[in-house]
Amino acid sequence: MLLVAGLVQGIVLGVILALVTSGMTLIYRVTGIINFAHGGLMAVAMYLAYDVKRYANVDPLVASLAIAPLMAMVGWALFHAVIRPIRRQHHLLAIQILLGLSFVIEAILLMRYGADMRTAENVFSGHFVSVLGVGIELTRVVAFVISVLGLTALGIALKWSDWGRRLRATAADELAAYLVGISVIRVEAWTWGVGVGILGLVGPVLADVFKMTPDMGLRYAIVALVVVIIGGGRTMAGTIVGGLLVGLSETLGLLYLPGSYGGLMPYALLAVVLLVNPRAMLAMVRGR
Amino acid sequence: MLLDVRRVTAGYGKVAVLHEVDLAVAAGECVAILGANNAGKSTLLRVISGLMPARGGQVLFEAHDITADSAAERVSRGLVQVPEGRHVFADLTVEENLLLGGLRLGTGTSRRAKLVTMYDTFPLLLSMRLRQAGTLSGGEQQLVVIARGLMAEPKILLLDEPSLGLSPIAIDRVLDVLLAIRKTGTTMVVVEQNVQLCFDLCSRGYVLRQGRVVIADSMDRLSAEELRRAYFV
Repeated sequence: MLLVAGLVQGIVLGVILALVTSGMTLIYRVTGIINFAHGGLMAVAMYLAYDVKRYANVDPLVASLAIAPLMAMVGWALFHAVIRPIRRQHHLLAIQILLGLSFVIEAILLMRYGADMRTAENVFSGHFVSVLGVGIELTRVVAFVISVLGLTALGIALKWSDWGRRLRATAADELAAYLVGISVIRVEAWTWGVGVGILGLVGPVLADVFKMTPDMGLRYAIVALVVVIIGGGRTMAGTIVGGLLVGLSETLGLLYLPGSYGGLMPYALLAVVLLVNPRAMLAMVRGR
Repeated sequence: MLLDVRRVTAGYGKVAVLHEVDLAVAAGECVAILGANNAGKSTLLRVISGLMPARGGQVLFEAHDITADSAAERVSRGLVQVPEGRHVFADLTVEENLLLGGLRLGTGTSRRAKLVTMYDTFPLLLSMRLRQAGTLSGGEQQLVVIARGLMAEPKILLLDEPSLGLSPIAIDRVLDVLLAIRKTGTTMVVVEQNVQLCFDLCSRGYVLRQGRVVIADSMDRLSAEELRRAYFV
């Protein structure tokens, strides 16, 4: 019974992590940069939903309709202002800048909201549903549904739309992309827009699933990075597999291991993956 | 002149690779660019396609100065390059590769129609259309990238070492395709190490040596002796 609970919760968490990470995978595949500010940007989206709820009493789920495009613009602007000028230089430079951005976000959030843990409740908060005999928070299920829809939409767009084709082409071979007339800059800007916009879509509902603290950004960026590496960092399917493995390992670990050793499980899994296939890390460090 | 390269100088960092190169191609011609490795042939094509900036000189296309144009702008003018080393979009299918080649025609029915014509002309592509381009052989990939270039209905087609790394049979097939393209009147510029292929295909040739044009003549006037001297002395 405990196992079923662990599996259900693990899968729910895993799919949510997969959507959150999909933006990072996209950005990495197309622009070759690991977005270390990914977690921080998600925190921004979540705290924005918190403010909208507190001051305008708008449900975070409704607010996400506005926060998603807003975050997309933030991603687009971030690319043009910060990434584009330095993208031809050493990829560690971009990583340093994005790490710095993550710290700046943390400081601003700390100043504005204080260090206390917060949540932003939505219309589904406080309710529980039973899935396969397991009690689970309704907000989590809603976040799960949003994630499934988001991943499906993303997968369809990437596979069948012209935009998706151009994106995959730029990721596959930048030189050839230039030579068929693709505006590589525009593809990269759009990728950052979509990648960060996804955080704006799912962040607001996660404000009731993940506990919000100003320093959560870097922690989630690292979790996302683990998902990317385990999943191979190449395909959406890989990201989903990575997400599920991380979600399941953490949930089952917390369930069966003493104390909070369970929280270490994703990193143990990462170590195993890298021991078995060290190329995974090498490929990422060397860049595209 | 369809393509006019005037006194172009270019390089990487502190190293100058091209020194005041002059080159002209008239509509309908097939021109060869020959030379030893590192003579600057590929660099010249990169500058013409906008993948690399010129430090000096101009590139004119249909009498427009395109020296400052982006690579995408040049493609939209009809200046298309098939790069060295094939560069298929490996993760994408053959059909997706072709569709992307036809981006210049938009994303609607004219591109689809062009795709159908392409399959008629190259039945081999039709049989491979759903295969992942990265799984094809060298010769098949070369066919895909040439067709990808043709999808754009180019006014001029630049080919960088189309025979590189191919088996003799594959080279023959590529030559047949290029001859067929030439017959349609498409202007072509071919960079090649395979001198025989250029003799079969092109009417005029330039020989580059250390970034400079050392010979510019019609192919039948190029003697074996002249070529050897240009390459090796």
